[in-house]
Amino acid sequence: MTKAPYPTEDELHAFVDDELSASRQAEIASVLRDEPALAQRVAAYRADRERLRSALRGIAEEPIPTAWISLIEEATARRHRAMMTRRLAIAASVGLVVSAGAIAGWRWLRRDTILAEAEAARDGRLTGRTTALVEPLPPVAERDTRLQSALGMHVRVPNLNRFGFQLARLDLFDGRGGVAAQLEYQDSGHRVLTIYVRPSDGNVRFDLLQRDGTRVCVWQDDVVGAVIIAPMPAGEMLRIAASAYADLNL
Amino acid sequence: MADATPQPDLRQEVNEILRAMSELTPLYRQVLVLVAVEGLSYRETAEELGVPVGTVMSRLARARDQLRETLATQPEHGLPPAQRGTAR
Repeated sequence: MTKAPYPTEDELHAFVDDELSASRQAEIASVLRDEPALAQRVAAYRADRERLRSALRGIAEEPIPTAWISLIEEATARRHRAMMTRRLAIAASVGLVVSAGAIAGWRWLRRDTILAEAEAARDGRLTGRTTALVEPLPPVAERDTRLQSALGMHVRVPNLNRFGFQLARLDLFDGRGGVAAQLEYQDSGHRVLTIYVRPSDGNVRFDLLQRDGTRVCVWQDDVVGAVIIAPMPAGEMLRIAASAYADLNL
Repeated sequence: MADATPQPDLRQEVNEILRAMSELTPLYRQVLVLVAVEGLSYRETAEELGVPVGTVMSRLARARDQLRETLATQPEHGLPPAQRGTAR
């Protein structure tokens, strides 16, 4: 009888993930019974896996990433809106949705560069546009590579499949404002969601706005700035924005 | 209503993990996110990335190894130490 091959490192991780064939899972389980040291290492891998999954699942389930709360506080303090800060912070912590139409005045919006760029891009008015990807889209890795290459940053194309939105196209911009990208998604109801993303201009902020029937989420940290625009309720926008934020930054 | 915000200890651990993940190469980080965050199977991950399942396996193993090494330099908040080395 031929002895089963000794498991490789890759197989040990796949064993922990229960991703091998039933026969190979059984073979490795048999090896582990005979080798306590190896079994101990696999147990540590399993503990790593569960701890990592638990920690990262916490992020995915947060209504708003905790980091955003500080951005809200900083941005709001600058604009003397302490009351709205408290409401948004409460909303972030308990998952409530705040009607944010009054967050920013139109006078301020008119000076809002990244938002103006994002709206111009969505309306087809932003100059320097080239279409990088359209359906049928290439694999995820190639999409990420195109986006990273265009922006010169390590960012990923957000995967919004679990929210019902599929990526439809990627447009790049290289105009007076510098490089930027617009990711356009659609759902089965023909709603269009756009994510405008570009390197940060250093103005750290987080805002949730309502403009007519459209919801707008703007965030910017030290590295990346993004604007999400879509016709949807605030709660749905926050869930999608949180996921997109994680995807872009991981 | 339940508070969905992680407790301070967990938040600190999450931040350490995110910092460590940011040090992975994009290829490793990508596969780790798809499997560990989005919960995709190896086959689904391979389809998403347009690579063979074997590539997913090897990248995932190396990503976890590198993540563990990075976190090991943060002993208070790292993942529990695992004996390292090749299978044999």
